[in-house]
Amino acid sequence: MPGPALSPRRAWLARAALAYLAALVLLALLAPWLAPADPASQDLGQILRPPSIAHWMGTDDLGRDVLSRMLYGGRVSLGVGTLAVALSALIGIGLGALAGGLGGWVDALIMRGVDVLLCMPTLFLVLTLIVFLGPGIFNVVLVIALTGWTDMARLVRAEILSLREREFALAARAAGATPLSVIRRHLLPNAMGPVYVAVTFGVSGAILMESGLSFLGLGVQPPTASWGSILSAGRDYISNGWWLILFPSLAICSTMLAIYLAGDWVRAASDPKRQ
Amino acid sequence: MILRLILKRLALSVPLLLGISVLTFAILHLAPGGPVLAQASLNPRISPDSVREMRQLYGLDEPVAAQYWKWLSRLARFDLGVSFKDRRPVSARVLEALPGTLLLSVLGFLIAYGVGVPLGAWSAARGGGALDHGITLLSFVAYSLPSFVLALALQSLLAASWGWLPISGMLSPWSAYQPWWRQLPDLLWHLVLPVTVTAFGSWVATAQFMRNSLLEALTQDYIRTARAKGLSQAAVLRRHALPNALLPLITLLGLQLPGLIGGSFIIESLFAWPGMGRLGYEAAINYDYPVVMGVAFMGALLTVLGNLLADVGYALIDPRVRY
Repeated sequence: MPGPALSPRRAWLARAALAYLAALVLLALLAPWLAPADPASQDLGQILRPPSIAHWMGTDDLGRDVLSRMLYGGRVSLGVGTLAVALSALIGIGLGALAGGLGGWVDALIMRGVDVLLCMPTLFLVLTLIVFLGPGIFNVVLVIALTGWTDMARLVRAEILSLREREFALAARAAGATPLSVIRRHLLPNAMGPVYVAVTFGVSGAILMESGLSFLGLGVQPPTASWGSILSAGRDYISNGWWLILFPSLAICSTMLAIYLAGDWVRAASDPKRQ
Repeated sequence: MILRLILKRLALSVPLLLGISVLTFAILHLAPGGPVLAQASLNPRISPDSVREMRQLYGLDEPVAAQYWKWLSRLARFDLGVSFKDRRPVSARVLEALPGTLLLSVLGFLIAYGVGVPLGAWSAARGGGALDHGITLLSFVAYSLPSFVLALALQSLLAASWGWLPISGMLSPWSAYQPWWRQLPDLLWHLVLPVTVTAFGSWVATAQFMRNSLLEALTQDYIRTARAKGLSQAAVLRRHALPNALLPLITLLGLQLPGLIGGSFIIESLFAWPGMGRLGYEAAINYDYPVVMGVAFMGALLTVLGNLLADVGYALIDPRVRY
């Protein structure tokens, strides 16, 4: 949910955030070449070792190198987040545009569906779906996408409703364009500004949801690592394994913060009133 | 008047409840025994017995319309089957977990509003300054700090390392058989961490919402009128700006409610707090489908009820809404 706005003086913060996100993506992409060890290989002689020269972020309860797991986990966390938001944006934009552009019973049907989904606390819905579908990366993406599109749909619908009676839309209709092509060619392109903002903030929401699910043990399944599942392993070692909590926590929080700052920049850039 | 409004809102929530029944019915069909039976038979954690029981419980061998009717009439009677784990009725297990969740969310909510509203109002009334910056900064922190990270950090520092507060649970073992007046301080002691984490997510948002709402109210014409007739700044704030700025908070409550209830999953399972969230979580990892479904249904019911209360509250306070 969008919160405070940064003053233009802090534009450097947004730039730093974007650079940080780019670095994270790069680290995740290059994980196979950068990781010092196989993220799944266990060394039972090296269990729960604190950070050292050999293991920069220590080892976990199965003697696995935490740094390698963090790098590979970044692939999962960032990848699942991005993919889920892309999917939910597709659903949300599509249904929102149909609801706003066509109106009538299509609108009523879609929006009542949105109302019902909004009644279910998101985490309850997500967990229930996961239990009934089974855990795993693919299902996590699917479930986050299926539950996360409602805000996007409402946003697009509201934008399109405000554009529908404007001259250019009337002109297109008068020129004989079909309702669907008016939506696709004229209304939607003009409604995209706020959508970019929502997508940016949506990525952090999806990353949060994935780490939450994996933290609860219902997301990615072992031996696959994600930041949430590494943190989850740390739950059992809160008194003697601080590195299992600190590093994944830092990764999740810093990513959320960076996306927030970047999202604020997108908001400023896509809002002509603030330029 | 109010009664008519309540009846009207109640009538409006009927289609919503029907929608929820359709949604949950659809989810049921994802389960073993449903169309994805093949997948379930590969899952070693789901026994053939529970597949058979699912079929029987939800009538999955019957035509879809008959199945839905069966499901709907069950929901209407709040009959959600029996738990796979202990064979007790799901409705009983959900209802006995409800007070724990309500205690946590209501307290967390009261603290979030009790801290957030005055802070937000103060920062708007003062206009800018250190408090304003502080709230902005804190909202960045709140945005980027997931509840499970905060909970783990507090547990490992305040509870595990320094031993100031209990790590988890609702009562200490020693107080289990004590009279209630000796249990109460122990309960409060155990509430500190989970309530802090519950409140943390929403108090900053509340402060910010209150701040914007009051700033907005201060630009209205009636404020200028109040100033023009010579009222002091304090009187303008207290008598004219604040009451109007507080109204939208009721809407915020409705919006925050699903998050507050949903958050109980993570918070209760981390703090071993006996409530619906932990019940749902334990059912989830054990594939106790009827219980998972019962918890989800109850979560939706609570949200609908909360929104209903918010609507009625709004009408009670704001005469413009009464029609």
